[in-house]
Amino acid sequence: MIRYVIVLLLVLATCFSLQSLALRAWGGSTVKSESNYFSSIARIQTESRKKADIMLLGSSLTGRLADRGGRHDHVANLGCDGGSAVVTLRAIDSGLLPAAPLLVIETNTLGYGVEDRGSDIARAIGSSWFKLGNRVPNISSTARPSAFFYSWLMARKKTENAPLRETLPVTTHPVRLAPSQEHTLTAGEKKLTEELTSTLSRLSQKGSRILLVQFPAGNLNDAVLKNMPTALAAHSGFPYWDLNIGLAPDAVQYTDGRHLDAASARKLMNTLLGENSVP
Amino acid sequence: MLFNSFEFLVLLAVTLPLYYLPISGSRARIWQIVVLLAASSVFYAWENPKLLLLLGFSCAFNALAVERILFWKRTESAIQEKRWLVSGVVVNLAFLGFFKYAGILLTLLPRGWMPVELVHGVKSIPLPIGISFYTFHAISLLVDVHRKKVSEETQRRLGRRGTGRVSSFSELTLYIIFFPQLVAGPIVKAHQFIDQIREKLWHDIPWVSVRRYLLTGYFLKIFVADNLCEQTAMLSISKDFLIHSGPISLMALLYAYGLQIFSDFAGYSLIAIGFGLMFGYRLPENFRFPYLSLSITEFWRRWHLSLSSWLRDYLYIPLGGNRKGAGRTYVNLFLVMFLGGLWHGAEWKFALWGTLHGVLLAVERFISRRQGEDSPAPKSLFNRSVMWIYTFHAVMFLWLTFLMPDLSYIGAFFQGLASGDRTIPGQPLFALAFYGSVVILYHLWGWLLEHKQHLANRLANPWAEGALHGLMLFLIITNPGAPRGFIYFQF
Repeated sequence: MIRYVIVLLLVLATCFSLQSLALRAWGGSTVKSESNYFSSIARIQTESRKKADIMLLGSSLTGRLADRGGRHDHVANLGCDGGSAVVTLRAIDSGLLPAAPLLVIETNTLGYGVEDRGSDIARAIGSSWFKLGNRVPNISSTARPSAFFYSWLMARKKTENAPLRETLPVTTHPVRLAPSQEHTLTAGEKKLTEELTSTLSRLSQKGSRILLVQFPAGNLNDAVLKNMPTALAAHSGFPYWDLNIGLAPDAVQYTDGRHLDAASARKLMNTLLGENSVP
Repeated sequence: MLFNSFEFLVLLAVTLPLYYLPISGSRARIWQIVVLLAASSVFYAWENPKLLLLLGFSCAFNALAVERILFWKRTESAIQEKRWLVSGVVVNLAFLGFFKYAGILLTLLPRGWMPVELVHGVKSIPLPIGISFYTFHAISLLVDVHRKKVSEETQRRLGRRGTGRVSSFSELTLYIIFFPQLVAGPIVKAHQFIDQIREKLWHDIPWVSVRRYLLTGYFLKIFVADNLCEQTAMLSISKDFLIHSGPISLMALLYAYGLQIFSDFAGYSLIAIGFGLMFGYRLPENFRFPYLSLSITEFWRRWHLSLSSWLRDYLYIPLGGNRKGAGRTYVNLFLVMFLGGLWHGAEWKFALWGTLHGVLLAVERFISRRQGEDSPAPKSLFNRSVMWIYTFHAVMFLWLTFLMPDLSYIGAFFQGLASGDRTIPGQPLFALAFYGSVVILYHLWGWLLEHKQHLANRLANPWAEGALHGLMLFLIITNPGAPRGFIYFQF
């Protein structure tokens, strides 16, 4: 029995030490794991701890900017795979997550909020396991052993050469839409639009600037998701920027029809940073 | 309540010390039964307390039936005894039928025979959790008492009258609702459990076995099954996804599901056995490395053993088993598997799953009879490999009927499988390799135990076990899947 306990404790200590070393070698966080759920939680846990000037809220379209578009110390990416900015906005509004001075909200997938997509991640953000992971890095989602292996495999894959300074070839800038504009919304979309308008106003009153951005998203252009962005922009009065306007179809590339490849992700990131005068 | 929830840990932390309070004499046994009944009731009623009424009714009715069977047995009135046995079994089946199968049975009636509102109303009755398991426990109790399979002492205890009825009722209820096996088995036969009811002592707990069962069970569930689940959920998400996925992706997901359902259910069973031992009760093994099987016949001797054994003892053998000629044997096999499939759920897909297994069992029985063997057990390595590949893939593809919402999804799966898409999907393949390898190693260990016992004994030393358990514990803590219920809870 004693031999068993000694070996068990030794192995446990060795595993935790190796994990701590690996986490340090990865700069405190892994890139991605095989699980979209845990990738999102890892991203939210790690990025929300940063003292960031800009916070990107959205779905996996936003998450892709962190996975492939490069990391920036002053940008926190809270992309929520399978969900939308609704999940993280609600969490910020209820005080579970901090807010940055500038909140960039990916509007493409806001409609997912009507179906409550990403609710499992929302539940996780409020859980004690999430809070414990924030305090003890070894049990945070970014330190999962599977995430180390998966990130290592991703790093080994040859990625596209992404120009460091290049931006998207767009000439537009954020605009405020006229509130009188007509929008065809379902009852659920209408309700969500009203909820988000109130949430954004509250966050704005607390000192955060809001920017609504429609990302290039390939085949993710069905009608259900199209109406909410402009409706929210018009209803709330916050600046709205549709990056698809004037963007040539071959100006960006996708890995699966909707998620940007590394080069395009980096260009999009540079565009957002440039617009907000971040070096 | 789930074994992998915080509430359960609290319940356990309260129950275990209370259970082993040093109480002397005959009161110790009564105290322990009361503690277990209270803990089991909390465990069962945690999500929906109303369900306890249903369970209570089942226990009360079966206590009455058992007392009557024993009474008529003592007075040697075989007809009355049989009448109570048959009524007891029929009421239990009716109970199960109403809550589980009324919806599907009503859909068989010609349209217009029943008001649509009634059909919808019956279909919307929620399935009481664990009803399939505790009904089978109750039937086993009635039959075992009738067949005198429980000891004389137990018969005397269960047949008490007057104020002794309270004691009989509590013991019988403990057998039906003992929390480790209440909602998802293993299905324990009455004679395996009731004779074990006696005073339990703290120093009799086999802690080495308890830690092995619990750690392996939790590891299979939390590290393997819950992590694979996120990937395999894609299989039933939409037909469009299946049609547009390539064969590599679909096969990876199918294998992952096969490994997930094993880890989920075997994990649950191991946890249940571990907790059973902690409270002094030995529950039957439910799995014996099923993916080592070289035939479907062998698969059913390794998979969900407590169900196979229950069906054999209380259905297949009473139907005549293999004693009434070849034709009848095939019909019996077919029927038992059809009903076994339907036991899993009130959907035709489960019946189809069971039936297809029954067909394969009948075909294998036919072939082995022609070869003059008990079961098709190939000798050469090549033949064994071919048989393993056949069995493994037959089981895997039959999981499709178990998993998919309906047959059109299976069609979509094969459509995707036939597509020329050679995309290599990163996430499912990684998950299959990372988590699935655990199940492969687990089965390799099983193969060693069965074929190279001396080597297995050499490996099973405290150093190796401590190291392995340390690693497993580390992965449970740092790499758990998203918390989910057990697949077999829905049955």
